[in-house]
Amino acid sequence: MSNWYLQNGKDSDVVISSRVRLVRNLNGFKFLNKCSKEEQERILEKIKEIVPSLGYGLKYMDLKDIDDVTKLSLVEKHLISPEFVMNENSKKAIIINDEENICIMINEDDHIKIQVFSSGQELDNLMSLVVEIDEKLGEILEYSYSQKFGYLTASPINVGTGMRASVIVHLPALALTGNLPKVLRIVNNLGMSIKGLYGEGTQNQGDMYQISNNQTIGITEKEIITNVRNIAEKIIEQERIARKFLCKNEAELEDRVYRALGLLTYARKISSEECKKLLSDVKMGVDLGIIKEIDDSKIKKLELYTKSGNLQKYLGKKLDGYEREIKRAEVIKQIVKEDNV
Amino acid sequence: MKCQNCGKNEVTFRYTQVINGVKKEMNLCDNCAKELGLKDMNFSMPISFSSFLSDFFNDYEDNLIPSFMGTRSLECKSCGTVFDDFVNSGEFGCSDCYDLFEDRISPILKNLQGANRHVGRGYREITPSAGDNASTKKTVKKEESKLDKLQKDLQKAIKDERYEDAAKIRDEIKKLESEKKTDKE
Repeated sequence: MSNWYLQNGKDSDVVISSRVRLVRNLNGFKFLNKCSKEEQERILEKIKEIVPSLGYGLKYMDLKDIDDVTKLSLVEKHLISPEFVMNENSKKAIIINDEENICIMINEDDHIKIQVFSSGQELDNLMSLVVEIDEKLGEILEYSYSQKFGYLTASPINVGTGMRASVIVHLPALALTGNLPKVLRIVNNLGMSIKGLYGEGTQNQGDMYQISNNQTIGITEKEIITNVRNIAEKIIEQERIARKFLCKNEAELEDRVYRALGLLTYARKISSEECKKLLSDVKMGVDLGIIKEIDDSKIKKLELYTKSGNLQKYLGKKLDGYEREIKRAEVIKQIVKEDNV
Repeated sequence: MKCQNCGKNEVTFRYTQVINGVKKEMNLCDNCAKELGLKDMNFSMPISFSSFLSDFFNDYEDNLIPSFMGTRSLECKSCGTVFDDFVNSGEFGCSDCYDLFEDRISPILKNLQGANRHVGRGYREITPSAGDNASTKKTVKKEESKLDKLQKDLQKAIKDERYEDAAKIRDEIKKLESEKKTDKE
């Protein structure tokens, strides 16, 4: 079975993926900003020891043992944050399974960041999973916790539940019809945050947006999930209405998505930015049933393997910028030509 | 509208120049604006969460209740963090900081997150094996929360102008409170 980021889930015409994460710190250790190298090392050792007893096929990997291309590919899959890779001052590790639906970052901003992922809208199931892992971890390790403030974190923006739930949504029709600023404003007013996944505002490539909760204290885990789910559902509804509106002008829409498909499949070299933009239109064409030449799962493959790090992983070799543009075009053709599943 | 300079791309950049009262307007695309040196406005400012935080807190200084004033010079015994460190970095040094700066953190959390009490999942909550002491504590808590609930109901009843209900709830509160007193005696 393929990994979650290659699958299609619930409401996947709009929702790309869901994630739930919990931030935890170990009792008896200073938070990371005050932690010495030796202390960081001790945290790693302590956690490394207990990984086998966690189950889920989780494996411990020291960040310094992971090569740059793999790191980049993990960042592109949103499994680890760019800051986690970039800041080389501290000793870090990840705990990850083969399915890559669980990825725990050790010594990022806090000692432990448990993350679980799924394609489509799966917040409720993800919450059960993350709580399950948290209970196991919390039994073996001793967390920093206070009756009043809940789970203690370095920054007060995470304290309490330490939970952040998010969904990534694809909103090309709201963007095209000029309704996106309205949606962004409303969501922000509702105490949620919504931001472009690849750059802010008009710079956003690929019309991908991430919605997540702001509040972590004075709210239960269930309420956080419900709130994010409700907002996501409203946005899905609005995006579908906007798409229906676009469908009224059949010729225009068909022209747009097929032009994108043409460029994408016939280009001989293509940058990652151009690719993201074209893929956004092609994906909308496929989701609306206009483009029948390729299916959902191919879109997922294209989205993943056209990203620089994963492209190099796919081909199994290191490439410089110019080579990547040529190889990217080749890989796109290869994936499009494969038999539809 | 197409770019004035190259005539190919869409206009994304409008530039108005006023020199000696002569106004000159240009409509350009991104590339041309950059080429003409007009769009060199990329300037990465060191803006982070903490750079906003510090102003956020400094506002409190004046309105601070005197009893909090001592907090400033307090230093966390476990990690050496003083409150200013937190204001500068936006991060605490260890879990003990939360105890030490509790008085300051509560209002900040209230402003930052709209709440300052954890209501989510507990961690290793009091288990029955902890003995009788724990269980009596629990019942006390329950009664208190029942009282809290009644108080809330009372407020709501008054607000909704349901005075008959309000009177009933008031009697119930009185009964609970007197029970508590006799218990203590």
